Amino acid sequence: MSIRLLSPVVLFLLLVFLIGPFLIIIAASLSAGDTLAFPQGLSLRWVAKVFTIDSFRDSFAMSMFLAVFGTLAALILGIPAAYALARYRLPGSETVRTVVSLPIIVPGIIVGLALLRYLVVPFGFNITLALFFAIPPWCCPMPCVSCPQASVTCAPISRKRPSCSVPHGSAPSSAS
Amino acid sequence: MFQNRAEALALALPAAIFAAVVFLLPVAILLSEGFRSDGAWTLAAYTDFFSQTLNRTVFFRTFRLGLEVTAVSAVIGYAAAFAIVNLPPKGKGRMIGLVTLPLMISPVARTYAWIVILGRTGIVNEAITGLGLSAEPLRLLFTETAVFIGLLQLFLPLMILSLISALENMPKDAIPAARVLGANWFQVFWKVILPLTREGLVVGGTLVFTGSLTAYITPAILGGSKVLMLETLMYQQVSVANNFVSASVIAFILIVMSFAANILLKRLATARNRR
Repeated sequence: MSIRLLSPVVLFLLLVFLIGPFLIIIAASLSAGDTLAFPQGLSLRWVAKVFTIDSFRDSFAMSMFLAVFGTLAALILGIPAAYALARYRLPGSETVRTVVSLPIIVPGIIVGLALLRYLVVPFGFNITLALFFAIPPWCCPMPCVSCPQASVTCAPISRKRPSCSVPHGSAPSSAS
Repeated sequence: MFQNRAEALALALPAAIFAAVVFLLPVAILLSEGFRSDGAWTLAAYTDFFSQTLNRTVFFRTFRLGLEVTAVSAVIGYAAAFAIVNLPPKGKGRMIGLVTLPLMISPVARTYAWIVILGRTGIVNEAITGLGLSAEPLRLLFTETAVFIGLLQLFLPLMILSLISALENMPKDAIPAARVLGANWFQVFWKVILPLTREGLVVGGTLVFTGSLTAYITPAILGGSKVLMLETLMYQQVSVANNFVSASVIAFILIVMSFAANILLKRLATARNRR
């Protein structure tokens, strides 16, 4: 009985903790005040202002570019690999799977640092290009890890179920 | 058959080569740098690293915060997952959606919200000074507590989702049966729920723990240079001190820790299946 009374309280507090901060930051972005604080009156002035800043527009364009083309590149590389790993038993398929899934486990900041040090600095690599390169290895594992399982359930063919070497859902954690 | 194999290799190779060249190789070179000095293999960088008090403090702080976040998220996670599982189907779907929502949003935005709440002119401080509890605003940001709260909010959904699926897979009659046989709620949890959902707890715990160890944005924004964690220390070593050897040592420690957690997860999961 007490548990039945307790659940709504638990859920309410949970939502306040998980969702509350978003509502607050959305409210703060609509604030008319001068500092980052709880809103003093509503206005769109900060929203309008941010689009007048060149560096914001540039980074916004960059983010969009990377999101769209990084995803495309990851799919172009990832889908054939996932298909091959799911359909054929390759000599080194476990190795390929491990190599392709590693970027999920390795923290993003380490990958970024390594690329900066060994691609950008010595070879004069363009930063945009390096950022672009950094995305597919990180996204590739998604189609690779999730597709084999989808194809197992859809078309069971005679082979052992591929073992998923990466815990599902660990991706958001290493984003940086 | 051979033709198929050749085809398959041709399909899989581009991704593997790409991952190897753009990811594996640079990371491997970075890690090897920590073991080399004047062309010889050595552990000197590691003994150097751990001989400094600051580095040891940061190392243990990262480890301790990871454990704390994992433990607290497990406690909250059980309460929340239990409450969600017992909701009617419609409400359950909505609640799971709301719990998943934070995972879709960038960690930067998620962490930034805490500045509005905990900052000098933030909500908490306005309330404290407004109520006259303190004349000066308290320093809540750039404390270990702030990092803890940020990490907890960041990773709690992963724990809740793991525990929800574990609780859903539990036999429906187990809890009523234990209750009928006279177990109190504490015994029900300890002897029935916990053993039956151990796998979900292990998966959630690993995700939260490795996540907390390797998160960069949250400690950077909420801890700043006052509360360094391994990742922020690493960034500082590179950007301020230009010390790549020390960064490589930290990178190696971080990777070993997340691998260890992943191996432990597999071990625990299979140990249970065998029994």
